[in-house]
Amino acid sequence: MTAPGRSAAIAKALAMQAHELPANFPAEVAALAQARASARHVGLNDLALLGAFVLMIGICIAGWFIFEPQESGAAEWLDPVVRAMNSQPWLAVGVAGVAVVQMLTFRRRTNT
Amino acid sequence: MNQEPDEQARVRAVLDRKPGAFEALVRDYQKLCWHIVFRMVGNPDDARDLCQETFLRVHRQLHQFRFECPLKSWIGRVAYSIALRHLERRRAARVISFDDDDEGALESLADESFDLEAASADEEQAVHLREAVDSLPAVPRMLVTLYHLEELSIAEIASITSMSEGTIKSHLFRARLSLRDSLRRRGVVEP
Repeated sequence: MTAPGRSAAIAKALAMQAHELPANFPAEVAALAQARASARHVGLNDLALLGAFVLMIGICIAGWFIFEPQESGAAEWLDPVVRAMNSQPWLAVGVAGVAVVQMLTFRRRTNT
Repeated sequence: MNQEPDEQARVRAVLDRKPGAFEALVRDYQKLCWHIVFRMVGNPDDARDLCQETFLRVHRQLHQFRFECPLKSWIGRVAYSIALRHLERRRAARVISFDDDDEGALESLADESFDLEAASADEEQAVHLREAVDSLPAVPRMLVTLYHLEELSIAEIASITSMSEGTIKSHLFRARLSLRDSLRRRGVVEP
């Protein structure tokens, strides 16, 4: 099928109907988009900071149980977790890796 | 990759949040957005809201634009999908498009001795023609506007709407037939 010919008559008839976006539309939309982007920016930064904080606390706890001399009976409730991490260190590496990837993703999003 | 270097610079400026960059982008593409959205939804208030939603989405997702098509087509696609979703939410699907028909027959019928240019020679007849366009279903009305007023190519319209080029041509031929019938009913052209 060939393309139909363009019609100046249809174009003229359509052009009679005025373009009805207000004159200040670009400025208003730009301001609104900027405000929403700023709000989004802060939200993602907050999440990134929270993620970093949780990761830091996790590393501290893991370090405490890995390097602390086993002289007290405190915190037996974490023993299964420590045993799991000791027997399968790849688990800790995997969790840390996921956390780092999430951090980098948040960082990329907040920078674009 | 068929992008003008200045289009890449313009996108980069928006992503870098350069003052005035996004406002200029809105100014340049608002007419295209309006033509797509208004012709589909038919209501100026809804069209204004949907145009705003379009540009907010463009701003939010511009970092995903990979320069695989012109920026104009990408923005048009966003506007089209937003307008289409709006119509579907309002369950207006029955007025969106023409029914299926034989495309070959359409082409020959539309080429029949129908002189649109003569049919709209004066202002009053042009008003009849505009009213006839307004009475078309949503999608053909939008396609007619993009093709005849915005003067986009069939390929550009296909990129915006994700329709095949054959379907677009079929809609355009069918719209022309519908306009002819509508003008004949109004007595603007000879039966």
